[in-house]
Amino acid sequence: MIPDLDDELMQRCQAGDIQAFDELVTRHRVSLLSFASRVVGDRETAEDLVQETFIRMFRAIPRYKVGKAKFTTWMYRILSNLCKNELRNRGRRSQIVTKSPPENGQNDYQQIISRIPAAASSHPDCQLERKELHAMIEQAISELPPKYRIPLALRDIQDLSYEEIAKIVKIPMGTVKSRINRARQTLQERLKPYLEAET
Amino acid sequence: MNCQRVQKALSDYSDGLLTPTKTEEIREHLVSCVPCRARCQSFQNMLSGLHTLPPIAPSTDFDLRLQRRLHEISAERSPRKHSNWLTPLYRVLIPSMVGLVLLISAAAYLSYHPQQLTLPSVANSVRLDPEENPHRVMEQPGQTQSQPLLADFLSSQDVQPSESTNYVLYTVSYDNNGALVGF
Ligand SMILES: [Zn+2]
Repeated sequence: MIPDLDDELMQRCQAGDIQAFDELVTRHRVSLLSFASRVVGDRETAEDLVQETFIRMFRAIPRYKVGKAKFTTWMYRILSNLCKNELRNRGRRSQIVTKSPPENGQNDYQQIISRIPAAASSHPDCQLERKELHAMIEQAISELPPKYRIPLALRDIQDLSYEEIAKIVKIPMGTVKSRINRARQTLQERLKPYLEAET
Repeated sequence: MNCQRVQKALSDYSDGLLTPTKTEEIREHLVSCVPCRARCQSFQNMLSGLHTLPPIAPSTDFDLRLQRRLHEISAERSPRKHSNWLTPLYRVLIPSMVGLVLLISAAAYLSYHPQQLTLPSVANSVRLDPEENPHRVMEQPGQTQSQPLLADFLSSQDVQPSESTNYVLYTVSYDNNGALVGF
């Protein structure tokens, strides 16, 4: 099982094994980056946040208690908090920078939708390319409020259990369920024409 | 169960979080209600789109950037205890710097001693273990350079020179797999 191996690697780190931390990085960098990129909406920032996550983990090696919590819960909690702070700071920055709405009154998502050829939505049998659907899903996620975005990404991109998500974001299970429900409903609403075209 | 309640329950339904009774009620509703069935299908399409988002690989300098920062932390925390961390980096960088100094010295030496020294020649294409020593002696026919330096270097590496070719000493760097990454 994955968690056992992670704990074993952390124990080796604590014993001064020079390779064990590299192994942890190799094991988790792609999934952490995939998560962070979708949450913060840009890859460069996501890389910085994942780097910072590994650095915090590295610093915490001496005080890490094997078996106290699941390794991945701890790891995602660090990254989720970093993502949350990034989004909060960005919210403050953008409030200062952009006080007026976009020129044509459309948000990014609507602009993407408008670039898709009309045929994609007017012909039910015309299947939208999966790649395009993925791009729109990513865009729609990036427009969710941060409090919905993180639980949704943990559940539907990282495939974590509700129980683990509750521990990562430190909110009750019921709240996790309702936030994921709300996030999914919102995405479905925004992607409606294309999801129906997919059938 | 009415349509609105079914639609609100689709998320929990998809994740198997409902009681068997509720699950059965929804299933029955979906059989008889076309709009809800379409909505459920669209919901499943969305979930499938989310689940199949492609993984994102780190950029090529991700590991090197991280190693540099971890090394700084190790050094500030406990230089002796963690000095062996990230040794692959040491293996490439430190000998490369030493080699660069040697090369500059060789150039300086040649500019003051223009007569070329004859080297007992070396075996063609000497290959050294990049893990142990990231220097290689590379053949360059028709050139003779800074031979005492090269001879010293070869003897320090237990390489037997031979008679037929002239050689030049380059400093090169290798990654952990022994691939050439730069001069
Ligand atoms: Zn219905």
